[in-house]
Amino acid sequence: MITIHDFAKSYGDVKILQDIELKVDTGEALVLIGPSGCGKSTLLRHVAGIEDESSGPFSGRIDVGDVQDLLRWPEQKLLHQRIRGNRIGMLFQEGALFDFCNVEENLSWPLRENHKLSPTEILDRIQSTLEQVEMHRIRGLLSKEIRELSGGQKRRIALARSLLLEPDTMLYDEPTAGLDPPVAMDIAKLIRRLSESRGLTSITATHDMNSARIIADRVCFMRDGQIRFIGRIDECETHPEIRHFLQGEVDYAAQTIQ
Amino acid sequence: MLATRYLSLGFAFLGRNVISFLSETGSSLETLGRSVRSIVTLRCKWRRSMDQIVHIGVGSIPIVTIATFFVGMVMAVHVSTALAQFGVSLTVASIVCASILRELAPIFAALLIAGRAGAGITAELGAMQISGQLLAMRSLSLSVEDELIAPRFLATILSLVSITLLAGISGILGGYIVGIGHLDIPFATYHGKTLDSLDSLDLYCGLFKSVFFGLVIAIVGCHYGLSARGGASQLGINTKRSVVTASFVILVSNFFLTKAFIHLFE
Ligand SMILES: Nc1ncnc2c1ncn2[C@@H]1O[C@H](COP(=O)(O)OP(=O)(O)OP(=O)(O)O)[C@@H](O)[C@H]1O
Ligand SMILES: [Mg+2]
Repeated sequence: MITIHDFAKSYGDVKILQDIELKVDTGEALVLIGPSGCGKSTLLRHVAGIEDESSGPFSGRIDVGDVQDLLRWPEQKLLHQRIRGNRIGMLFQEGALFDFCNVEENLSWPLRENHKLSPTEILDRIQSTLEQVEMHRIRGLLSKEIRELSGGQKRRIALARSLLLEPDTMLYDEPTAGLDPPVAMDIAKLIRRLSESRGLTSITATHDMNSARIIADRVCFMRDGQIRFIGRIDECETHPEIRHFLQGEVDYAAQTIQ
Repeated sequence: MLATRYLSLGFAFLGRNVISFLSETGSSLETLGRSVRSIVTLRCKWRRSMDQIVHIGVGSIPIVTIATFFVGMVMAVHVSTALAQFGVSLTVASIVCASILRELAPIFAALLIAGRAGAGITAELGAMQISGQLLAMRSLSLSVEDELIAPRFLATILSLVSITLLAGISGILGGYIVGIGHLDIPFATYHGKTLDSLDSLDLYCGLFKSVFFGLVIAIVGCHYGLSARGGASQLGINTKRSVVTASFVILVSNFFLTKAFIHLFE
C-alpha cells in the first residue's frame, strides 16, 4: 500500500507539487496522467526514496507498505536496510541503463550487491526474469552492449533489472514513451500481467491513454502540481478537464501554481 | 597593453573556476569525507578500483614517461650551459636528479593525469548524472560512493604515485642521455654522481606531493562530475573546469608544499 499525505515539493522558489493526497491499495495499479511538466516524475522519485532535500524542500508524509514516513529516513538507513530496489522498484523514463557495461552486468550488478547469491543462482534468476519480460529468445543478449539495444528492448531490460530484486511496489515512469504503438501495447500488457502475477502495488506515470486503459485499476489526473481527479478510467474520460487534455487543449500558458 | 589585457582575462577565467569550486567546498569536502569513509570501512569496491587503476594509470604511462624523459633532457642541457661558465658541469647529474624527483616528476605527472584522468572522471560521472544512471543506482540500493567515487579516489592516488616514480626514473634517464651523449661525461662518472646525490628525502617529498595532487585531481574531478546538470554542453563546461581548476590548484599548492618541505627538513 502507498499512502501519500499532504505532500508538497519545491525546486528553489518554484512550487512543483502541492496538497498531494493519494492512496494506492495493496495490489492495485494506479495510473497517473497529466500534462508534461505537471510533476509526475517528481512525485514518483519521492515515492521511490531517491530524492532528498538538497534538490529543494518538501513536506508531508509518504508511507510505502510498512516503510513508514519514507521521506524522513536518512540516506544511510535506506541504504543499509536495502529499502530501495528490494521493496520499491522504479522504471525510469529513459530506462537509465548503465551504459559502461553490458546487459549481463546491468542485470547482475544490483543482484550481486543486494543478495548473497552464487554466480549460477544469479544467472538462473536472470534467465527466468528475462522470460517474464519476453527477452529470453534473443541470441547473445547478455553480452550485448546497451547501445546495441532498441528502445523497446532497453525498456524491457530496465524492467528486468528492477524486477530481479523482487520489489512489492513498482513505480513506472513513462514506460511506453518513445515507442511505436505495437511495442507500447506490448509493454503495457506486460506491466498489467506483472501486476497480476506478482501482486505488485504500482503507480504508472504516462501520457498514453491506450496503455493507461490496459494498466489501470484507477486513474489519477494531475495538473499544475495538484491532483484534479481520481477514479475509474471510464469516469475519467467524461471528466471535462481530462477530455480537454486528451484532445490536446491544455492551456499551457495559463499553467502556474502559486 | 594587449598583454596585460590577456593576462587579466586569463586571471579572471582562472578566478571564476577556482571560486566556483571553492564556493562549493562544502559539497566537495563531503564527497571527500564519504569516500574516505568508504575506503576506511572497506566498503569501497576493490574490483572497480582495479578497473580504474588500469583505466587511469596504465593508459597514462607512455605519455607521462615520454614527457618527463624530454623534461630531463632539457633540464640537463640548461643546467650544463648555465654551469659551463663556472666549469662545474659534473654537478649536472645531482641537480637534474634532485629537481626531477622533487619538482618536475610530481608536477608533470600530476598535470598530465589531471588532463587525462581528471577530465575522464568528470566526463564519466557527469554523463551518468545527466542520464539518470546515478539516480538509477540509488533506486537499486547501489552506493554511488562505494561503487564509483571511492574507487576513483583510490585509483587516482595509487596511479599517480606509481606514475610519478616512473616519471622520476625516466626524467633522470633523460639527463643521462644528454650528460653522456652530449656533454661527453663518462657513463661511470655520471652514474656515480647520480647515485651519490640520490636522496631518499627528495623521493619522499616527491611522493608526498603526488599523493596530495592525486587527492586534488580526484576531488575536483568527482565534484564537477557529480554537479553536472542539464545537457551535453554543461558537461563540456564542467570537464574543462575540472582540468583548469585541478591544474591551477596543483601548481599553486606545489609552491607552498616546496616551501614547507624546505622549512621542515633543511
Ligand atoms: N531537479 C530539478 N530542478 C529544478 N526543477 C526541476 C527539477 N526536476 C524537475 N523540475 C521541474 O519540475 C517540473 C515537473 O517536472 P517533472 O519531470 O516531474 O514533470 P513530468 O510531469 O514528469 O513531465 P513529463 O511528462 O514531461 O515527464 C518541471 O517544470 C521541471 O522543469
Ligand atoms: Mg516525467
